Amino acid sequence: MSDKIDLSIDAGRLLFGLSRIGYTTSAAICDIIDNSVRANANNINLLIKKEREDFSDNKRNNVKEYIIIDDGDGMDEGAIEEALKLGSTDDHYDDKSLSKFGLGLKSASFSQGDVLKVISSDGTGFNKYEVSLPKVMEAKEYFAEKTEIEENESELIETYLKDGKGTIIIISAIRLNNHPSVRNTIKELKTKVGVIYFYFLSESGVNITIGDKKIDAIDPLFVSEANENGNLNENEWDGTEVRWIEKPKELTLDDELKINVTIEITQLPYPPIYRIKNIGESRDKEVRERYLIEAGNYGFYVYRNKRLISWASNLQGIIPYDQDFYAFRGRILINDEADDFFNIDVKKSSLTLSEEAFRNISDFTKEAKSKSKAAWKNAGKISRDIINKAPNEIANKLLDEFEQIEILPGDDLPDEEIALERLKAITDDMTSKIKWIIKMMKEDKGEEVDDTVDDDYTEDEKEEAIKGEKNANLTKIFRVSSVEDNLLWEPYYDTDLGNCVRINKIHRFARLIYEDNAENRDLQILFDLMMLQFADSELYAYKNIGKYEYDDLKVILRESRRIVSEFLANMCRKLENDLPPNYSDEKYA
Amino acid sequence: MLETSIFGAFNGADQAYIYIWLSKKHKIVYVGMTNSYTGTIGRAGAHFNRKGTLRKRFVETRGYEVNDVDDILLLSFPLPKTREFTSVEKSYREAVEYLVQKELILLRGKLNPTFDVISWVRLSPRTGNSRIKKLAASIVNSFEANYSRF
Repeated sequence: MSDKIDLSIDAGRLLFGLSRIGYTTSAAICDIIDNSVRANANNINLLIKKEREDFSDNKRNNVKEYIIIDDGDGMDEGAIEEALKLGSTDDHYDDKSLSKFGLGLKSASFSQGDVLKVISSDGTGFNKYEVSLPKVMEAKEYFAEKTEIEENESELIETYLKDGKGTIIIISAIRLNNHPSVRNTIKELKTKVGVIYFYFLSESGVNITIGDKKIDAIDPLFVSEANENGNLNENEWDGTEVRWIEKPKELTLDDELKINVTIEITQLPYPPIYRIKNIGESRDKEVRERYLIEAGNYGFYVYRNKRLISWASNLQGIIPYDQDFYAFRGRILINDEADDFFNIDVKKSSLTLSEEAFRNISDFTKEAKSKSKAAWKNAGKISRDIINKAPNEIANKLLDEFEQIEILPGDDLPDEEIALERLKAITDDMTSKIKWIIKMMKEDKGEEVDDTVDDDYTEDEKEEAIKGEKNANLTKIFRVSSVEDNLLWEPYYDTDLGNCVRINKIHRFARLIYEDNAENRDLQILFDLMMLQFADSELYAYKNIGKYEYDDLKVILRESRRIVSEFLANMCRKLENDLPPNYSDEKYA
Repeated sequence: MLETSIFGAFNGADQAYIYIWLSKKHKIVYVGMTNSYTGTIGRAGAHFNRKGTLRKRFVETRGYEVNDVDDILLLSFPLPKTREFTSVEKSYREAVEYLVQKELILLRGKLNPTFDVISWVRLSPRTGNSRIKKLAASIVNSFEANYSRF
């Protein structure tokens, strides 16, 4: 026998604590939309009122009110009071309810603002109730106030609830402490609402609008595309299509209790393949956006009573944190009978699996995971095979059998004495340059280097500095991170390597070729070869054009190289968004 | 009559700059770089015209126009007079600009008043270069050392 001891509750602190359980703005709004959906609303409107209407939508901390209006069943006075209670009952709704704790409306609202207003009618007339967090905290007791409907609220009723029933939830006195901008909230909600209420939007005819924008249903598994494309063959899939890994299967989590869930898994596209699929048509970004392929979006989407309760869950590690699973999309459909196997938090944003559920789902998905990973890797291999046969090495290899013209028609072969003099001058210049090249290489590597240059270097350092990397396959054309004065290219000569070119791979024009057009292997090879011919021709002039002084030639040809480098950088800067691969025929048609 | 004293930031003929626009009252910092022939003063026009990036970023962050700001200050930091920094090809300048912005973001909490860094800068592949790191550090040190008197 035990004595019952009364432990009083400070309602103010309790409500304050409830308001700080970590809702994001979009999760809070979705929790309120849940109430509208279960109240059989056909139309749900979200309005966001700004603190300063003249301020940009991009400004943070500028929201005055969130207003959620639905034309659902509505509530009479008693039902509103019940809804405002902490731990409100859900008796008058069917067993497909989205509610779980009877806390959502209050915790979600107070997570964003200090005042919650509920205006509702079940057809018998609108009533308004208001709960203020500061007032509750001051009084240390939980209470609502029945207040008059204001003029602007009557206008909302007139506009959105002409049939005389429905509910308006207003969250005001928004806490403007790191509160997201209107634009970011709307952007996030468009995706979140589309996915969370996918079934309601696509099957039940529910319309959700934010401002005047209707939200489209988004199936995170893109099942309709998988239906068209069929099953995944992980050894052949090139990453361009959505495929089935597991068509919907019913999985029993508990035989005795007859707890069943439905699981389905698809493989989404491999975006990098869309960079190279069609030359000049880089669509990888578009594909990533369309299929929501990014770090936070792969894994299992768990729907409870057809409402998403867990976004891209890794289900406690069943799906590893690994980029190779980016295209893995699973869905688990449960109803409230499975709640004990999927412990859901108040925010409906995360869940914890029971031991049985974890074991069953983990075992069931082993093959699917393996297929998804193998397919992703295979698509990566196909992609790499297409884009990168190491074009720099190919360009160098092409030169194995190539011999430059000794002397051009019309040019006089210089006397041996002059030729040797010129060759010595070139060699001396290049030799004295090596120490500067090594210094630049060290700086690029982040090493501390004195302003004085060191003549003492190893052969390995020399090779790495001249070529940009130690690579025996590179014999003439070197892509390096630094060239004197940051020009696009410079000639290099020594007796072992002969005439070579050092291309500044960080120069804007080189980046256009090597990075922006990475998938265009032929362009890269031709560019490398062209650069070598430019360098070769400069060295040819130094050696063979005897009618000009060597020092004059050096100044003039170097200036010419500088001007070309600058003009190309300027062209890239001015035409940045129009140059290939961004060029579009339509724009210039 | 409004008097505006301007000097020392016109020469862009053989000189590139990192510059910082600062308003202590409105707590904003905007970092940029230029090799404009007219120096940082010449570059200013592009920031404050109707489509200017500083003007746009200011409105986005503060919610009101930069026109209302009465304490904005331009700080210009000359870069070495060598081709890497003065050329049209701007990877060296961009790298310094990026590192200065990054350091100011780290520094802002330590200064009083604190500020938001409202500029957007591009990441340059040269930010690992030791010479560039040194340059950026000296600019930020100079900014920090003088902050109280701005």
